[in-house]
Amino acid sequence: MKARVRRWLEEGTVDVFIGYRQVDGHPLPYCFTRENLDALDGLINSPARYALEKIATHLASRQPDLKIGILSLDTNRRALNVLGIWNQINPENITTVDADDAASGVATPDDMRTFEPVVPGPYKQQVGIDNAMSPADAEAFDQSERFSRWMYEFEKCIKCYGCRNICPVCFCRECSLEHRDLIGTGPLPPDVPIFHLVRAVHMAGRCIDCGLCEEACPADISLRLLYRKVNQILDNVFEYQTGSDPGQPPFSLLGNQVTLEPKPLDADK
Amino acid sequence: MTNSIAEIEDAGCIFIIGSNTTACHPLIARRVYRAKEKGAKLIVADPRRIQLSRFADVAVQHRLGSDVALLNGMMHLIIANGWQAADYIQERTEDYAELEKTVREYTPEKVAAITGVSVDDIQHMAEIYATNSPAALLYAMGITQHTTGVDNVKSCCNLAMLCGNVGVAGGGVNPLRGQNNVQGACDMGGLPNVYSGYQLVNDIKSNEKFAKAWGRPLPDKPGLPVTAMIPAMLEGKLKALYVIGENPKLSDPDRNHLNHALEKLDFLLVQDIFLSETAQAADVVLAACSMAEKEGTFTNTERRCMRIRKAIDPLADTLPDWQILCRLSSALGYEMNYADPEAIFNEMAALTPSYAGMTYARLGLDGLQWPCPNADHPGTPYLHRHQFARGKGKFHAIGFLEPAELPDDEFPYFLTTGRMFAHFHTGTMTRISPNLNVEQTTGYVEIHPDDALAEEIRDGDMLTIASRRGEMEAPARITPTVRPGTLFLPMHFGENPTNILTSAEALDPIAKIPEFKVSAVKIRKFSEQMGKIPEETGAADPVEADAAAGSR
Repeated sequence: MKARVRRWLEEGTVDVFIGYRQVDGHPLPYCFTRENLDALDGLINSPARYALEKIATHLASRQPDLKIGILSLDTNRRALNVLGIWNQINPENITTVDADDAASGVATPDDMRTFEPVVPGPYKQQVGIDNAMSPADAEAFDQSERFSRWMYEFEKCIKCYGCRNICPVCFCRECSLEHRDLIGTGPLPPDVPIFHLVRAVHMAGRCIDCGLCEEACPADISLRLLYRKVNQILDNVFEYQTGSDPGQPPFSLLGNQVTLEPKPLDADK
Repeated sequence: MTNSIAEIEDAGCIFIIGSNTTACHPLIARRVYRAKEKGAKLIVADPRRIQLSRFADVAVQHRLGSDVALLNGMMHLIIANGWQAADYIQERTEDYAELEKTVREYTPEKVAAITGVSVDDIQHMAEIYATNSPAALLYAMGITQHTTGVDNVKSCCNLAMLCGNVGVAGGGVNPLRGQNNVQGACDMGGLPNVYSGYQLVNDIKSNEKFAKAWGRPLPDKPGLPVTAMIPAMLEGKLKALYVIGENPKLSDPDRNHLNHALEKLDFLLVQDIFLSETAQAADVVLAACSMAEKEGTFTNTERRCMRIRKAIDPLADTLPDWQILCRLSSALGYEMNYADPEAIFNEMAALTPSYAGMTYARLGLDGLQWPCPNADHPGTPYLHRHQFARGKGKFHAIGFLEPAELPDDEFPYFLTTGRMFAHFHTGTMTRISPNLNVEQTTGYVEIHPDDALAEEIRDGDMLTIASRRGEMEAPARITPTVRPGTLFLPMHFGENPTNILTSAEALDPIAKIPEFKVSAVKIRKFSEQMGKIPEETGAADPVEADAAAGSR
């Protein structure tokens, strides 16, 4: 992997390569450059995960022509598909190294792994939503119990925005979560459940089920499960599998087919 | 903290008193949530109903300033039921008999009368704390910012020792420090009576050691605490003040009194990264750079010393604090020349036993927790493991004392002050961050729906709040999270300067900390709410309005 990335940087296939570097025992995201090829000695395939493609979107927004290499797991690739569809990156400028590719010379990682997995304790299982539940199991509770269990989770929220900030596909310039008319400000917890439901709705067509939101959440709220339910609805109702295909259109509640004749914009003239 | 942050997850019981942990120490709250979900019991005692109260096995709202009575009441019941750790008390502590004698007077009925907490709840608190070892006790400014601050802390220690919770993993007495490096600042001797590592300036051996290291004779008398500097300014005994990284115009009590004192100064020098309210009043401002622009170390609340690393060069004409201090010292005639912060660290470590084993290389990314007395020492996750630092753990028999000021006919409300989650201290850093400021753009005063109804106050009405020291305005936020008869003001907002109301004379006799948490005030309506008045939500009945507003 190191030799391949070095070659890419030297030959100009990529201008920068975003991967991980081991620092004092911690795998940290790192941007490798042609100017500092020696740093590649420290390139590793991390046991932790990070939204490397989010760094790519920040770089691309400043230097649209920059050619970027990224160490990628399956989730990174799904996120890159979504970001390409929504014009946050130009897929032509992105080259990936498969972290789970045997040729990369590193062990195959588990896509679903978490750095510090939430092990739901007995109290959480009793009154909250077990993070490891399937959407079907979470829906098996009767309505009032389901509501109280989800509210237990939401009421832990400390409004740190970690879920949004880590999210590889959260890129809106104006965020509905900060819109005072939608969500009240001031006390903790934030307005529940609306804070979490607004974010859940906005995950439609975006969430690629990487689970980083849940890893980032200091309150261990079962966010991944919540957004999985959103994805399930998208699949069942709209037959849309977010991030599955770089050629798919952006998700729209109105559907993909235009059924009305377009009207000329200058009709008044 | 006697113990470490991560250990909280493994506690059998967590007792939080005087700390709004989710708002002020969110990453410690994370450990509390996890402990609770793993099966730990949670007790919350706070005059306000805080977010963590929702998750507590027992949550009580004791009357402001009644902490000693509440803790004595718990100890009374623990001893009455024989739940105390008899062997631990016998082997590791002293003066237990006096404690037992004192707390015997604090019957549940008497404590209920003082604190407003029911006998049942006190019973539950005592039983849960005593029977779910190890029990971690967490506190913050709600314990310390009282005329009885030292008594409150000692009472917390009494309770913890009574149940054998000091010197064990997952237990301890854990003050949650308010700033990233306030522990480090104290460790480095940023106090009037000590050198680094709490070596006393009036101890001959320490004094000689530092005098030799620095090549000058050093004063052998403690300096003044902040709260004594202000009277000294007024008396003309203190003529120049050098303020580094503080904004006393908002953070110190009795603002009018302080302003008066500042005007008496011949010279005010302020060193800060932003032009705070205090910097605006300075004769000279020295522009320091931020933590992202410098190298050094911070020591956090769990005694963990960690390196910070420069991300960018200092912007504009700013310098790291250490360079400003070195230049100033050199200009004043004492040459200070260091190659870099590491050289300063090495000098400090050589003079400070609790840091003696630390080097930049050893700190790495994770840092080390003091005491770390030699180069092979792994650091200390929790203190007092085999024996207390002083030998035996000393019980202090402490009686309850009222706060300096209680409500009366003229000033009928209790006022307490504190923080909210989006802002930090006097807001110099957070109020200029758009993402944080959007959460709370101005001050407010929390008032219970019953009081709002009686005073015909609607949500958002501008109130004038007055104490014996002065008055200020803030919009009303009607909320059942405060008790009837008690108001809460956050201290972050310069346009609603809460500390106009607090007293600079109500100090703890030992620590000299002001009683920010208890004042007596009166309110009157300054103006009606200027925005829309939502008639349809039944604003005339705040209780209903509150219910309609959901969790608020």
